[in-house]
Amino acid sequence: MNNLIIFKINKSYERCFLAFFLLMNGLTQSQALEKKSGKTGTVGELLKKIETKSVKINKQDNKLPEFSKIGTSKTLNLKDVKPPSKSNMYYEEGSNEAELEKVTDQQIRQAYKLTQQFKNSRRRGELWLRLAELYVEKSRMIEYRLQNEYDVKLKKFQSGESKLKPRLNLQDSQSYNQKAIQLYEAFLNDFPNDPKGDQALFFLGYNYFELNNEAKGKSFYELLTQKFPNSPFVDESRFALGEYYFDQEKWGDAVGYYQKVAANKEARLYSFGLYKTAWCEYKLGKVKEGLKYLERVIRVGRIAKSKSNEASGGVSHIRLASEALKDLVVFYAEVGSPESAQSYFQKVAGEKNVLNLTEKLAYYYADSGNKTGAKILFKELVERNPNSPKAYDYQYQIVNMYAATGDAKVFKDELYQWITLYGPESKWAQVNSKNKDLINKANLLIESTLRNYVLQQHQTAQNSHTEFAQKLALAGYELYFNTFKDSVKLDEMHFFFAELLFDLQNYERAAYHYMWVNEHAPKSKYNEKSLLNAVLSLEKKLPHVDEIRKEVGDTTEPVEFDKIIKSFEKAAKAYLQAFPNHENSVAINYRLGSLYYYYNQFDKALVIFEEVYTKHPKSQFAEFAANLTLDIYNIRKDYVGLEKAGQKILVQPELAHSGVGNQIKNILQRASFKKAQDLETGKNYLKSAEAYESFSRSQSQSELTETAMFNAGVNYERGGDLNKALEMYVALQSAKSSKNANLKKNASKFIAILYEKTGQYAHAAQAFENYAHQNEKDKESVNFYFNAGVIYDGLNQYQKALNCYQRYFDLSRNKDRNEALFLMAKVWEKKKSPRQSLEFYQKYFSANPKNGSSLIETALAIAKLFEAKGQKKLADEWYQKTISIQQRISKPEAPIGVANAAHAKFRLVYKTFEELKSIRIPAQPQKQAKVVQQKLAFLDRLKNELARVIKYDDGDQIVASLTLIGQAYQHMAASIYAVPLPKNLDAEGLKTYQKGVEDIAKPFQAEAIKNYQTAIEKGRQLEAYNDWFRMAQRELSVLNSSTNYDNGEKIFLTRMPDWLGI
Amino acid sequence: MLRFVLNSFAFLISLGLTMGIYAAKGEAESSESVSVKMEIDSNDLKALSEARASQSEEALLKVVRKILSVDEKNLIALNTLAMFYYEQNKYGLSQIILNRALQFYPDSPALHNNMALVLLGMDKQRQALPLFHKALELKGDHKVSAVNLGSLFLQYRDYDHSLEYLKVGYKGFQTELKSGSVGALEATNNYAVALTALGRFNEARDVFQDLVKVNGKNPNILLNFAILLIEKMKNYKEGKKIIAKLKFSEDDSGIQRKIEQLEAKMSGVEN
Repeated sequence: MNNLIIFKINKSYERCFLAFFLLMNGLTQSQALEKKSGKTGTVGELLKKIETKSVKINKQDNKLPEFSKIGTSKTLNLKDVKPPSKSNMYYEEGSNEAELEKVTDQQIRQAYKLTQQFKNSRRRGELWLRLAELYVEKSRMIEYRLQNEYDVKLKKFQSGESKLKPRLNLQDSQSYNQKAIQLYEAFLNDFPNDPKGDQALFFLGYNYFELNNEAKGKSFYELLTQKFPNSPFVDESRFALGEYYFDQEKWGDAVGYYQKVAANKEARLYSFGLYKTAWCEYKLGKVKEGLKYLERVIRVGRIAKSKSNEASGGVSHIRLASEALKDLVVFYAEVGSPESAQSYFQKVAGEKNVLNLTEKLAYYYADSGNKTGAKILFKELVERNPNSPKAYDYQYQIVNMYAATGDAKVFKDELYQWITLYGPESKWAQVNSKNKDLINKANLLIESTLRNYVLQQHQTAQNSHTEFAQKLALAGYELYFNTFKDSVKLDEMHFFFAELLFDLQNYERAAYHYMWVNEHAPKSKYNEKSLLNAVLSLEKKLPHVDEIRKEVGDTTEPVEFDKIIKSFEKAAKAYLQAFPNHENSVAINYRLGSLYYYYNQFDKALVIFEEVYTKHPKSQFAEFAANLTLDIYNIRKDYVGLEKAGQKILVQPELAHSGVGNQIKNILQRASFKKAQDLETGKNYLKSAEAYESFSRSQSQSELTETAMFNAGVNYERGGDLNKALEMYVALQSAKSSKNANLKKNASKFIAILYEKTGQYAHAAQAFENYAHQNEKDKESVNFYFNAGVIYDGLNQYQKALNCYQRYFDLSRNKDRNEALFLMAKVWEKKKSPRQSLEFYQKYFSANPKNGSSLIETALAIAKLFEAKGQKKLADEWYQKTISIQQRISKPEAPIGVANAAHAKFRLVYKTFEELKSIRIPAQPQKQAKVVQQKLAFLDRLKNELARVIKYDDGDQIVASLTLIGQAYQHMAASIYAVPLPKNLDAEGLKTYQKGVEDIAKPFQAEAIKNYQTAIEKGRQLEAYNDWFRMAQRELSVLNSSTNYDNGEKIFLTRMPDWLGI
Repeated sequence: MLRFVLNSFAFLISLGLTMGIYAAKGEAESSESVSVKMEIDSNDLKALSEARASQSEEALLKVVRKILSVDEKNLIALNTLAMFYYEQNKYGLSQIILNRALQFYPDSPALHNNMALVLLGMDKQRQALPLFHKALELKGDHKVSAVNLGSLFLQYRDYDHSLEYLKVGYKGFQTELKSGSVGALEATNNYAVALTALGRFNEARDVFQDLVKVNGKNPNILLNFAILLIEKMKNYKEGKKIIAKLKFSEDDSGIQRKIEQLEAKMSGVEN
């Protein structure tokens, strides 16, 4: 019976509670009444047995009441109070509430049935009351349920979960109130003097209030008070009125009613009345008075508890007392002092509640802004038990309070205390270490508080830029890091610390903290920014290019990074690895690459630059990277690499068509050329030539092409490949450009020379001639006519030779130009043109050449030519000239023209021989002697003259001279023998005559033989084998048959060349 | 600068003295002398032989150009080129080339021999003879110049003088004689003739017999042998065989005349 339903003290629930309470009370009243009457087995009894919460239904047999007929009611139409034919269940099937509702419905149906059955009974009123109670209960159930649903929908609406604003529609529940009202009114009507009239009046008041008809409800409550002043329902109604005014916030009106209820210690609602009075006083600003009422409530509760007496069927004094205890804090906070709080609580609430209440009061103070009070109480709480699990929170409250107030000093001190006393390393933490949840929670709170504080300081520092603020912020971060080594927010803190340091231009330290994030919390949301900012921080510390240059100097060897740059490198690499495609990556990558470049770490630089210009050709860094790439290769003098790199760069259309692309093309050109030049400088001629050649082929439009061709030729020559050199010069010569005329001219010259060197004499001659022809004004080139002439001469191309010699002679200012005349004369001889030959020999002779040998030879040649022409006189003159010139210009120590002079002399002497031969010995004996003497004189003369020829000591002329002498002697002998025999001689005389002739002739013959022999000997000795030698042999063999040199054998005149194995 | 030298000997322009120093634009530096390579590639060697054998100037120039382009002093190339032109009676050019070669290889017996031949071609026997001697001075067993010189002396019936040179040639060509080389045949024939003239008949006979084994058809050799056998050794029997062979195969009037003389001699004796 005394089932209590626990609920919140809530206006909307109050009435339900009250109604139910009253219902229960009503039921209790019935029970009391029943006890008074001593009757059992009544409807009331029956009804009493219905448990409010019981699931089991023990249905007993209905007993009909005794009644007498007094006639039917005049005021109640039972149909109006008929329960719905189909009652809606408002609770879920299967639930306790549903079972209760079912039971209630069942009871209603039963009760209604009874009212119908006993509609005329005198006791029908009780049935009406019972039915009305059931309707009220049903109404309450429905209202409770609807209220709940409304609250849920409202919450959803407020949270945005639902867009539909709910409305509380209590029509369903109110319909039951209506029925109850009809029943109650009917009861009063029909039974105006019934002792249960107070019940009816009360419930009418209640129901009208339920129907929001406060005026009517109030009137019924007042009527109750008037008609039944001693009714237990009077306190109920007063309380209800008090509630009515309380809800209206008419505290003054409400307090009166409550006080009336509170005046009756026996009243069921006595404690409640005190409680509500306390609150009215509070509302009226009379907190002290209110506090007193609360104290009374507490005392009542304490007493009730001590008596183990819970208010039966109504609000529990103990419960109210506990509510009053809770409210005590609120009241005390208004009027009490924090210093006395504990003692007060101890007095009023007892020791066991002191801590709780003090804590509540402390929190209350904190919430309401009473920092001082809160601080005092929290400090007391801490002092009470410094290692209490809540101690950290107490201190936190203090910290929190001062956080918002702007009293920075106090806040800092409290914060610091909080951290040191309750931080992860604190004694408190150790003591409470087993309570892991507590420690975690505490740490989290401390950490978040400190963190927020530090970040706030940071913001302040950033905004104010004052040193003081900055120092505070720095100190805060350091404290944080010293305190929390494992916090999940470390990444954030390191990041922001780094940000602060960055602002303070402490870049190195900032970078350290940025990098901490990356190294320890790579998944942190700050990682990307940290990496980037680490790079930016360290970038600030990087040395300037000028400093780097000074440090590195002229060396091209790699120089190691210093600490800062290494750090930058590390940060950059980390960033690039994590965010290879980020918009900043290119710039960072390039920066790193440029550092490698400046420190001569070229291999690394190249890798990066290549990445930049191949993957990001549109970026501004692509051009820079391209430029530096080429520079590296240039520094290394790696022109092969430079060319390759250049080609690779130009593959990128953006770069190829850009300004840098043109520069690169130019550079490549020049690099290619330079490569060749460097090879040349290094005396690697062949490679240089190849490089020049390659350049000229690949860069055919370049202004350096022809120079490259020329240089290729030169270097091929130097490298020993004349063929290739020739090729290049020929190509240059064929080039259409009119520039580089000088190079082409030189090329033409070299072509001629190279033709000659490579054995292509015909081409050489042509080339010499062409060069000379194209450069006739060139002093040197005239000589090329001469060269051409010589070669043409050797090739038996006589006319061309003559032309060239002539041009040379005409154009040359050399002292030896006349030699050309001599050569031309020779050529004419070969051409078998004696006239022209003679002409040029004469020209040459007339030019008075310095060449003595040629001069002598010329004179002899002229003599021979004249002789061949039959111009003997001129021939003799020239033979004589030959001899004279030779005599004049030849020196004993350096004889010249000896053979020619000897030849000339011999030819002149030969005349003597001819003259000798021309003298015939006549047949007349008398004349013979004289003629013989003449002949002998010629012979002598011939011998003397030939002796002078022999004096020249020329082998050929010696043999010739000796042979001629032999011939002369032989002629003498023959001439003698040829003399006709005298006619008148007899045989004896003839014989004698013949012997006499023989005696004369034989010595000549012998001399002839002797001279012939000598000629042959000399010929052999001097190896002067000539026609005279043969003649001597021949004549000798005629004169002396034993000296036959020729037996008729066939001799092979071998002219065997030595081909050296070919 | 291009330098050329007027050689009083034959107004030769020594173009081989062009040690070119050419100014390359931009980075002019004087060149160093080109290295001399003596070796010749076996393929080039073969090509030279084939070109010479084919008498194709174009083919020869192609190979020579190739060789001289990397070794402008290459002895074999220069010599081959010179003697190619010699065979074409372009004595002037041959002389130019040989002179060029001689500047680099003054002690080459081959070059002196070949230059002597060129001079002989220019009817300058007087200047040629010292060169043959020079060749033999440089290499005592230089068979080619020995044969050339010996045959020249032989031509003038200077048997004594020729014999020592012909002997060198004979010895030098013995191996080639077996393969029937024309030059070897000629050299050996001349040697035998010299031996004959100097009365060393048996030696001469032996040589002629070797000759006839190698080439029993050469009429000049046969005739010379016959002369030895018949006129000198009075070996008519052998002589007749040779005569018979000659009469059968040879139409030359000079040879026929001599044959008649030999036959007359034999018959006169017999008679």
